[in-house]
Amino acid sequence: MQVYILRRLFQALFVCVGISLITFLLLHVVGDPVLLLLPQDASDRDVALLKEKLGLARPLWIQYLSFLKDAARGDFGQSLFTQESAFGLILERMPATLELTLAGMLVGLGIAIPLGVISAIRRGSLTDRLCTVGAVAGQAMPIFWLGIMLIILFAVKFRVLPASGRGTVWHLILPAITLGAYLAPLTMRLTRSGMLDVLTQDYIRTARAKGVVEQVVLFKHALRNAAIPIVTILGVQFGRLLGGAVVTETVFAWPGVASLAVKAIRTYDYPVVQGAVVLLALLIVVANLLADIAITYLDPRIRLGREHA
Amino acid sequence: MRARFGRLRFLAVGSGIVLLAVAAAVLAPWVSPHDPYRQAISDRLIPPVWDTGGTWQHPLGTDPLGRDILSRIIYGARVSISAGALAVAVAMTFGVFMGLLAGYYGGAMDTVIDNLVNVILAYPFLLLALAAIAVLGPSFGNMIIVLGLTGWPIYTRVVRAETLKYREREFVQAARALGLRSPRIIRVHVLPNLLNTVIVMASLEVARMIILESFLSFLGLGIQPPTPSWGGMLGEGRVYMLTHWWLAAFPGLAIFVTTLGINLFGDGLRDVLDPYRVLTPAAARTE
Repeated sequence: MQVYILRRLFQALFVCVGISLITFLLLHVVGDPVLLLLPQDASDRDVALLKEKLGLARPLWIQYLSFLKDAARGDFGQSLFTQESAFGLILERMPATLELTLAGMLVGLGIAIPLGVISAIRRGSLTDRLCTVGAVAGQAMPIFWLGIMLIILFAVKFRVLPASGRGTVWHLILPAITLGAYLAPLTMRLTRSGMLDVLTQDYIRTARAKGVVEQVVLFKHALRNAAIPIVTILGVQFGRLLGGAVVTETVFAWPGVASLAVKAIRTYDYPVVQGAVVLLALLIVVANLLADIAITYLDPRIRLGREHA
Repeated sequence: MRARFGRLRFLAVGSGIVLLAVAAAVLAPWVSPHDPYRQAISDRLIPPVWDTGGTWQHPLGTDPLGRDILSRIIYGARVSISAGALAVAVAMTFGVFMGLLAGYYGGAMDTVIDNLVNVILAYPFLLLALAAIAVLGPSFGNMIIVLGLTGWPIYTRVVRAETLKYREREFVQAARALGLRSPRIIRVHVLPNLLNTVIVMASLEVARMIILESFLSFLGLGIQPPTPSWGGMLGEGRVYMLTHWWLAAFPGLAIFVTTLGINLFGDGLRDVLDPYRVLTPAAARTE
């Protein structure tokens, strides 16, 4: 158990370093921050001066190492425009992003898990078929369009909910539905198939044969075992969820990290981009790690070595 | 049996939608009612035909520059479909190649590739694509490269797992015993067995790439105006969403219907190309 978790921790650390390296190379090698910051007719002397000032004249690997060293202490440099600490800017907006992701996850799971269970129990019924069609349609839905349509319907036509911004619970409803709709279809399909797999197992038949109440069979025997693939997927889905948050925050002008990153990408505020991307990736890594650890509790059979079986 | 017919119906509907979208893209100059670039200030912001003030001249209305929305959507199919297909081609080629290398040769090669895949999969994909576009500058070519290079790991993961399986099979062992060289074994004995899986994956990925392309264009980081693209039109329409709903509604609907068609087509294709999954009860449940 410890060995398994340690191994996963080590892998996670490797992934973090890899992510920082890719981000760094992308911003420093593929693009040149200085050329984008200065006007096109800037003289060579200006370019050299700015490079010196930003520490960009040093060899690349030294820049990367000092970036890593600073990043480990939570220092991603200053925003090139507001001169504020990039890390501070990001932290300030982190609660908004977490609030949105959690709300989206609640909505998504709140729709997906009950529907998935019902579809599995009543396999082939009208409900099941409607859910399947809904899931297929939902998976094809571009959520930035869904968000805009929700705004047009509920904020413009019926005037019952605010169109953008953050503040009250009312502000959270449309973004959470949008993000939830992104998560729900796949989760519902996986819940359904996980449930169907479990329902044909011998221990379910045994439980029914010895007269256990059907509700107990479904929720104690079946759903608990079906939870394993669902939790695994949730860990992996967290990355998708943050991707969805990028879209949702942009559409609803939600003041979170993702919209900050999009804005920083547009203005080439690279310390902020770097910080935001690395921190969001870190969140994904942690979510995956937690999901893996949660599974070892749900399923004691999963141990190092059997993972690849 | 009934379920199988149901699936075939999905395949038929999906193929129909995909064919329609491809036809719109190819035949755009002949089927679109107007020139998608022609501006007419006197015709600006006409609502769709069923709204008050709508006209059959412009069935889906016009935009703030008086351009015909239906024509722009028909032309927009060119961008979305070619971007989706090309991005998938880049991602698939690279991903399958890496997957074959990792799965067949194993060892250090496998470790390096597998870890790279983990890193890229942990990366917030959309932010990676956005950052890369911002650095490279928005253009059709750059967008294809970026989408392709961020989309390859899922092919690698699947191809690697399948290759590991085939590497130990008798026919591959036999080929090796006969003295065939590895590249030839991979090309002739391993790759053909993976093609069905890869084709199904690729067809579903086209939908995802179209949505990503649209989002990039929506943010102004993809196809640049005045070229009509669904995402770009949606982005322009968003500015007017409080007063003129049709500007955002129809381009988004075009994206939705197209990706729905592609998904139905891909799901159906899987049943046709990979019948074992359907015929064995255990596999059928995972559908």
